[in-house]
Amino acid sequence: MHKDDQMTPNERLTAFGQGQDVDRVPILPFLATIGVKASGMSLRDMRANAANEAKVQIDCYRRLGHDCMTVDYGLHGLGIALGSQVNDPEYGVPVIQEFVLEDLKNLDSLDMTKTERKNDPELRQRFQAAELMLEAAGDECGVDVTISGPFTAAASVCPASRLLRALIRDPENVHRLIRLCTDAIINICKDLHSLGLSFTLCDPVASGTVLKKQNYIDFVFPYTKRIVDELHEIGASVGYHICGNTNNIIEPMVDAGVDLLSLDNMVDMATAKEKVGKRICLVGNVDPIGVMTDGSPADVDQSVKECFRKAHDSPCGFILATGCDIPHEGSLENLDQFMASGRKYGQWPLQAKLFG
Amino acid sequence: MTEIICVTGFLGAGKTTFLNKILPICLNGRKTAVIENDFGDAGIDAAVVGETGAVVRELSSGCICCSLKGEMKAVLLALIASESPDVIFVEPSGVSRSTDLIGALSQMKDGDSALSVNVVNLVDVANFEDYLEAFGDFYGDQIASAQTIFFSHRQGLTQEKMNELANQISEMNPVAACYLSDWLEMSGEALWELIQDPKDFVNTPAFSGSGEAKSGAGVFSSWSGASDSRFSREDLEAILASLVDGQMGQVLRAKGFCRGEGNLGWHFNYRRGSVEIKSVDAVAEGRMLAIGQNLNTAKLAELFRSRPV
Repeated sequence: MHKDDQMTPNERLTAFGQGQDVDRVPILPFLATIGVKASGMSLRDMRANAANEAKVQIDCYRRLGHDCMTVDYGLHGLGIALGSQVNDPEYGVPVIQEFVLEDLKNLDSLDMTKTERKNDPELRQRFQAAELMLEAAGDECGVDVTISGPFTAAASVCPASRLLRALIRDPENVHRLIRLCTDAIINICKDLHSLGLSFTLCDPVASGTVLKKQNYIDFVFPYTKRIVDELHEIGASVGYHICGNTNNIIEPMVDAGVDLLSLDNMVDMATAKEKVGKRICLVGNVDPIGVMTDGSPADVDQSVKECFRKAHDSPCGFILATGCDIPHEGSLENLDQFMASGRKYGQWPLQAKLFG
Repeated sequence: MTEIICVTGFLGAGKTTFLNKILPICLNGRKTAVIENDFGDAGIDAAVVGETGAVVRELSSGCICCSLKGEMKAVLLALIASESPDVIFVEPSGVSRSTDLIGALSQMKDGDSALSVNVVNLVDVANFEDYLEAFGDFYGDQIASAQTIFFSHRQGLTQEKMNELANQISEMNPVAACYLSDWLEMSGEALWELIQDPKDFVNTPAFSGSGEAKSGAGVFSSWSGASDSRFSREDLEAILASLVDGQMGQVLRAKGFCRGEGNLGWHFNYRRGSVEIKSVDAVAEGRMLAIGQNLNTAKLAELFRSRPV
C-alpha cells in the first residue's frame, strides 16, 4: 500500500462502490503510454513481452499508489488480430499502416477465429501480463482492461474515413462489421474476465467530434449496450470512455448501462454532473496535454482542484482521472503532483473549503 | 521563420493531389517538408518527393483525437530544429478537427516567434451535403477554420447548385477566400499564389453574371504564358496599367519575368492595381501568370505577345 494512503485500492474501490466511507477519492490516471517512464523503459520494450508490460504497471502502482493497474488490449487490438499491420515506434503508440479491410465489400474474408486467445499471440501476452500483475499486487490492487468499443474496433479493421463514408453509402455492411467486432469484443472480455478483471470500453472514433448523434444512436449505442449487458451477466464491471466532445451523446452513453463514465477534458464536469450525475459515477478529467504534458506541477494542482470543485458533489460519486491518455512527452513530476493533489483535495470526508 | 500550411479535407477531397501539384512549385528555392497523418490513406507521390527533395515525416500516433496534439508538437519542433524548413505542409487525418490542430500549432514557437499557420481546406462539393449531415463537428470545423477553401469534385454540378453551396459554405466561414473554380485545372504557381495571401482575394466583388455568390466566394481562374518578346520598362508599365481597366477580366494578381532590352530582364508584380517592376539579370524566356475572375486569356496572351505554356 502507498505510504500516503490508509486503504488499499481494492478496499477503497469496494467501499466507494457501496457508498461507504473511504480514506480518499479513488484516482485513475491514464498510464498506458507515460507509464513506461516509471520503469525507464521504451514503449517498444514494454510491448515486447508480458513481463515488461506487467513490470511497467507494477512500477507505476508502487510509485503512485493509484487505484487500478491496466492491461491495454488497445484501440487497434482487434484489427491487429485480424490482420491489420502496425508499426513499432520506440517511443510512440503504434499506428496501423495497412488495414486488413480496405473495402467493406470484402467483409466475408475476415476470419473472426483469429481474435480468440488460442490464435492471437497478442491476446495471450495481455493475458499473461494480467496474471503477473495480479500475482504481484496480491489482494491490494485490481487490474482493468482497456479495450476498444465497437466503432473504434471497426476502425481498426477498416480505415475510419472509409467507415464514415460507408455510413452514408453502405450502412448495412457497416452494421455487419460492427456486429462482428461486438461479438469478438464480448468473447475476448469473457475470456479475460476468468482472471477477475474489470473493463473500460474506449471508443474515440465514436466521439461527437467524428459522429453525429443520430449515427451514434444507430451505429454505436445498440452494440455498446449489448457488450455491457453480456459483461454484466458474468458479473464484470464496465467503464466507458469516449474521447473528445461527448456533450451531445452523454445521455445515450449512460443509457448503455455502464458503471463508470470517463469524460474527456473537452467536456465540462459541471455540465456532465448536471446532465447525468444522478445516474452514474463520473470519472475525469484533467487535460492530458495542456496540463499534464505542457503544464507545471502548479498547473496540475489547479486543474485537479477545479475538477473537485466542479464534481465532488456529483450525486453518484466522482473519481479523479485524466481526460485521456497522457502522452510519452508528459513528466513523472506532474504525475506525482496529480496523485499528491488528488490525495490533498480528495481526503475523506470531502471538505469543500479545500477546493471551493 | 517557418511557415506552416495545413491542407485539410475529408477522404477523397484531393489533399494528396493538391500537395503533389503544389510541392514542386513551393520548392522553388525554398526548403520544404511535409508531415502526413492520414491513418492508412495513400501518401504523396514518391516521385514528387524524389524529384523535389522535400523532407517527409509521418505521425505515428494511434489515437485519433490525441495524436495531433502530443506527437505533432514533437515531430514539428524536431523538424524545425534539424531541417530549418521555410515551409512545412501538414496533411492531418481527414477526420481531425482543424481547431485542435491550429490550437496545438499556435502554442509552438520557432525561436522566439510564433509559427505562421495557414489553413487550406478542400471540400468535396459533390458529397458536401451528405457529409455535413452525417459527420460530427470535425467536418464543419475544417471548413470554418480555413483561410482558403477550394471546391473539389464539382463536375456535374450546375452553376446554380455551385452558388447555393458557395453561399452555404461562406456562411460557415465568412472570412475565407473560397474558390469555386476547378483547382485541378489551375497551375501549381497559381494555387501557390492563391494560398499565399488569401485576404487579397476575399471580398472581391462577385463575378459578373451572378449576384448569387456572396463576398468571399468567387470563381477564380489563372492564366500562364511564355514569351520570347522583349519589353522596355515603359512597355511593361503600360501593359500592367491596362490590367486595371477590366478588358482583361478582373485581374487580381499578375507576376512573372520577361526579357528586356540588351542583357536586361524584368521581374514584375501586379497586385490589385499596384505595380512593382525590378530589373534583373538576363532572362532566357519570359514567363507570366495572372489570377483573377473572368480572365480574357486571349487578350492577355496578345498583351504579353505570348504562347501558351
